[in-house]
Amino acid sequence: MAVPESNWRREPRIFETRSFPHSAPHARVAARILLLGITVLLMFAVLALGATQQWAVFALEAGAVFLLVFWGAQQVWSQCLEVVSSPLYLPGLLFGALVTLQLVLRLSAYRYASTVEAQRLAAFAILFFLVVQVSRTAANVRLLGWMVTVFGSAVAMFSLVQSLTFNGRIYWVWQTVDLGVELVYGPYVNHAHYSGLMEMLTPFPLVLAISEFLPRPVRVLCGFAAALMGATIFLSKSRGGIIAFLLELVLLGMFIAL
Amino acid sequence: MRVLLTTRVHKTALAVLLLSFASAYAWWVLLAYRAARFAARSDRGGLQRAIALEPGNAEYYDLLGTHLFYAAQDLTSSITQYKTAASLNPYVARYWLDLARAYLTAGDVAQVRASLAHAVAVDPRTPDVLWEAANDYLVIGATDEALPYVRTVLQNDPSRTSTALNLCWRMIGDVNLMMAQALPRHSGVYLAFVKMLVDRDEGAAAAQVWSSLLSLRQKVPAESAFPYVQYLIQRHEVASATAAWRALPGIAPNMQQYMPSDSNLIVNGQFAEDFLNAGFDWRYQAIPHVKVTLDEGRHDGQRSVAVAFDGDSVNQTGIHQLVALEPDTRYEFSAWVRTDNLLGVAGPRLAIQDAYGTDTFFRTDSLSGTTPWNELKAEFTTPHDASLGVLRIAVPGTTHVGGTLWITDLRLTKLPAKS
Repeated sequence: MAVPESNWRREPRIFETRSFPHSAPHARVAARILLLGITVLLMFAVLALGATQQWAVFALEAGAVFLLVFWGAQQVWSQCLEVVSSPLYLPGLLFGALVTLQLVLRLSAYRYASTVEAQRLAAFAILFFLVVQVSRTAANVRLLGWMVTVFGSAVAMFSLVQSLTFNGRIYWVWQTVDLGVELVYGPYVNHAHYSGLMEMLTPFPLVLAISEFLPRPVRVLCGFAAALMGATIFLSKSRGGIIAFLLELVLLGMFIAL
Repeated sequence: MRVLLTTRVHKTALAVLLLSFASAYAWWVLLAYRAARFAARSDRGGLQRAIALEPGNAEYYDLLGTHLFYAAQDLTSSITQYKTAASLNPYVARYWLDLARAYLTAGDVAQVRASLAHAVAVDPRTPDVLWEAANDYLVIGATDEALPYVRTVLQNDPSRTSTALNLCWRMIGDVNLMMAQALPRHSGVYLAFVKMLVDRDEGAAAAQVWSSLLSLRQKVPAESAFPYVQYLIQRHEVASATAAWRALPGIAPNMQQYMPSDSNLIVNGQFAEDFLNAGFDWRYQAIPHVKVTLDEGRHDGQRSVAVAFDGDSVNQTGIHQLVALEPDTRYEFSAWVRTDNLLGVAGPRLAIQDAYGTDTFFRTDSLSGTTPWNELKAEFTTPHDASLGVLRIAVPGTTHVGGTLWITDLRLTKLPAKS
């Protein structure tokens, strides 16, 4: 419902008692669609060989900007620009400023490469911003957690099967060039990149598995998913990935102990 | 943070702001995508359009340069494109190497040197880069510049060892120079070099490298040194072969068990060690109707070799050993043998023959029947041209033999000359 400008200016108490725009049904649906869009885009990036080829990079960047426009349209529709803040914006903005400064002052060793990376960074920044915007309700966070868990387990299972039946081609179809086939793991040409993905995804099922708010069978299932995903980090033979994952487990243990 | 968008101006402002950013960004990423698509065509037009869309991308200039160099054979234009690529991104060795190759074709040696210097300066440790640079340096005759890079390649890229050694030998042909400047002090590389020289029948050079290999005192797998010993044997250089064999424990400690001594010139005469099938140890080749096994049924605590004949026609047993001998010298041979139901017109016997001729220096009587362990002894004198003997468990002619023969504790000692 539209809030008259006079109320907003003169009667703040009235405004505060009204429901927030994001809790309106259409806003909730839009946030859900946005969340699905973001998740699908990120899953696509993983499945498209880690979005390293130009067509996949283009799809990722174009998809990110499309989702931003969708978010903007929803804001205009709900007649309220509502931006959720995050403490992580500050380091992100500082890094963005550094990149901009580098490009503007021509400090880059190779300007074109810096431009390409800035382009990619902008897409990541958009997605990060949108994730923060849609993650403000517990329902959306739960949905995100479940989608990540299911996707991570599926990728881990696929990677395991692929490694056991490997014919030198990703998805048994995609021929890799230049790099040795021993580096390939899952949808990634480089096993270190696969382990990097799993390091990010494994904590989701791991936390769900130790959560006291879920029924026991579901927690066991989450534990299995976490074990599967964690095991593939070791099977991918990425030394850095294994060390990082072990550190992650230590940190999680410390948090739980505290 | 919340901002109410109650007026058309607010809404329009937000929409315009977002759409402007989105359009600019989308145009930007679309440009990169279209450029990549054009470049993927790999033809002149496509690459030129890619450059027009992304003039800052050095890769497209390099690709166009390569297209002009190979497909259009337009040397001048390709050099221009390569130079642009290298100036846009001077940190990629590939661009400098491509430029060097183009200058090489143009015959501009000074520019080749300059380009190669840039290439190795920006990427001094990647074997691929150094290998290509070394090749180009060798082509322009700059050996001093090339060899250190060959050394780095040999140190870091074992897959190139054979190719690098072959190239250097063809271009330089100087063992001392190669060992001084191109070969890392690594036994694997020295062994590969010895093998290459042996394959090319460069005996003197191989001997030099072998000597340097021994002085490295680095451990190597014994079997990797056998081809050199075999090469010397084939060249009738028995003294050198013996010296090489006796030097092996210095670089392959497990070879200590396979050394002949003054008290016994036969190696592994008690069959305590497995057959090496090379050099001066036992050599074995499977022969139909003859089964050779190392038998744990011992004589005097020693292992023996069991040779079982199945009764069919045979003319050899497939087991022999080369023994370095001196000319005009008396030797005493002894062995312990046992037989079990050994039947045949002419039974097997032990013999030492000239490895390079047809002479038989000595042979035992035919062995037959069933006998317990007993010692065979014989003395013989080598002729004046003897250098290498071959000890065989021989079968005279082609004959039917059945039964089993065990042999162990074979000994050959040099006797003092008769006064």
